[in-house]
Amino acid sequence: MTMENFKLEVRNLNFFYGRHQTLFDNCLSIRDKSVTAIIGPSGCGKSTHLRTYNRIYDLYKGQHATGEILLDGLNILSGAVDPLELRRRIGMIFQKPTPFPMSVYDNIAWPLRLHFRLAKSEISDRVQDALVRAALWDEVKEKLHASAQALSGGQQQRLCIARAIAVEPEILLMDEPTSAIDPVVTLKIEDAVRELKKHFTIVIVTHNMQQAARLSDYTAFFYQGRIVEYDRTEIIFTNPNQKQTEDYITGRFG
Amino acid sequence: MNMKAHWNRQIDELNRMMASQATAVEESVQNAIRAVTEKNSELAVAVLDGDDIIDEYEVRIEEECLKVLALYQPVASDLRFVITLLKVNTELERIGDLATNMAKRAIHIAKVHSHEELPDFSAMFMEVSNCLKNALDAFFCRDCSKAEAVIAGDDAIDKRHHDNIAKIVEVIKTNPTNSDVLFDFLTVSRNLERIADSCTNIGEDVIYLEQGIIVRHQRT
Repeated sequence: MTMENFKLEVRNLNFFYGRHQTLFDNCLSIRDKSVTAIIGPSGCGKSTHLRTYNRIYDLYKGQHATGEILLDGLNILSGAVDPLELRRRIGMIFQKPTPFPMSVYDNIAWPLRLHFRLAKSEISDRVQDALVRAALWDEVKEKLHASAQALSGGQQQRLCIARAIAVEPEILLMDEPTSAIDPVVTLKIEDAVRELKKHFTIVIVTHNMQQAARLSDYTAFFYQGRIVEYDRTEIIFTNPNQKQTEDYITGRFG
Repeated sequence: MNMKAHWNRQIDELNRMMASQATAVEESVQNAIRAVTEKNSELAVAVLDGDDIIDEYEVRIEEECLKVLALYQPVASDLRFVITLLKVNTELERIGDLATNMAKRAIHIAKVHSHEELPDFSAMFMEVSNCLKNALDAFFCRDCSKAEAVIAGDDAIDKRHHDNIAKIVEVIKTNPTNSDVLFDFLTVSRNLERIADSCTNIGEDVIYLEQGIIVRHQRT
């Protein structure tokens, strides 16, 4: 029972924007090499919760978190982990693609050079490998040195995934990664995620309930900053325990 | 404000269709039973004619369910509702077929002018009618205790069927002159027993609908 392999353990997490508290006593155990979806209505705290995992909120004044987030048993909120190293180990994909204003190739090579000392040939191998795993290689192999900003939105998003996985993170956070993307590319990204979970632990925030159902192994339902229910995805979507969960996923809310 | 208004309309429509189907099937079973007991071949022919409507309804309900699944992609209790509807729909159509089987036997029984005493099925007729009524009530009222009662009652009807077989075989052994019509009664008994099986399935579907638990194959 206690022998389960948790990659990340969130314990009694509270979050504040200044004095305003937005997360209340969140407890969540994320299993290694699985996809965990976070669902809930707008403003329920799902993105805020996700943003605590790599302390990206540190970059903003007046935001702070209390409680514990244990990454392989080490509390990342205590400042024990160097933020730069933390963000390598826990990569993040945002809702809108965020390619750097440089070539496709350099988008991936640049963080590699930042984090590792690698020979040129090794960098080029890793760039290719990351693009293959993000299901983008076939579409960009002829234009690796063209500007990343010339790619379509769906391609840019997969480039961001490639960039995130190139530095060999342990966890990938995705904040509504396909909300700005058409259904065909969305399925490509979902396929890529299914492949990626063999190597990474993935936590995805999504408004798309069907996506959460299709993609994730576990689902957490958030409401007003609290975790209402957390269980295996198939249970959440066939027979949830809590009435609030049922009402939300069947569209009876509000 | 109510985002579910359109969904609710679809569900109301599906419920209405199911209610019509259930009424037709129940009537068909009642008529088949009467056709046998009263040796009434006109009633039996009416059962045979009525089966087309039941078949048609089955297809319409299935199409409607598939449409709802594709358009709304329901989850949780909504999903369980549509899935249960699909399954109960199939059971109802099957019960309709079993009623026509009985009606065919009734036509044959009505033709035979026998002086021999025919088996008395009145108790089994009553039990199966009640079983069907309770299964349908359980479904439409989402009544799990009624569903459980239907499931629990199945063993008694199975036993009744096996007793019928034993009795009829005994009669045929001693006096084979009447065996034709006795075989008809065997068929009627088997069809009744199968109707009760379908009712049991409906009961199990109702429990899944309400509680999300699959209780099939758990009986000892």
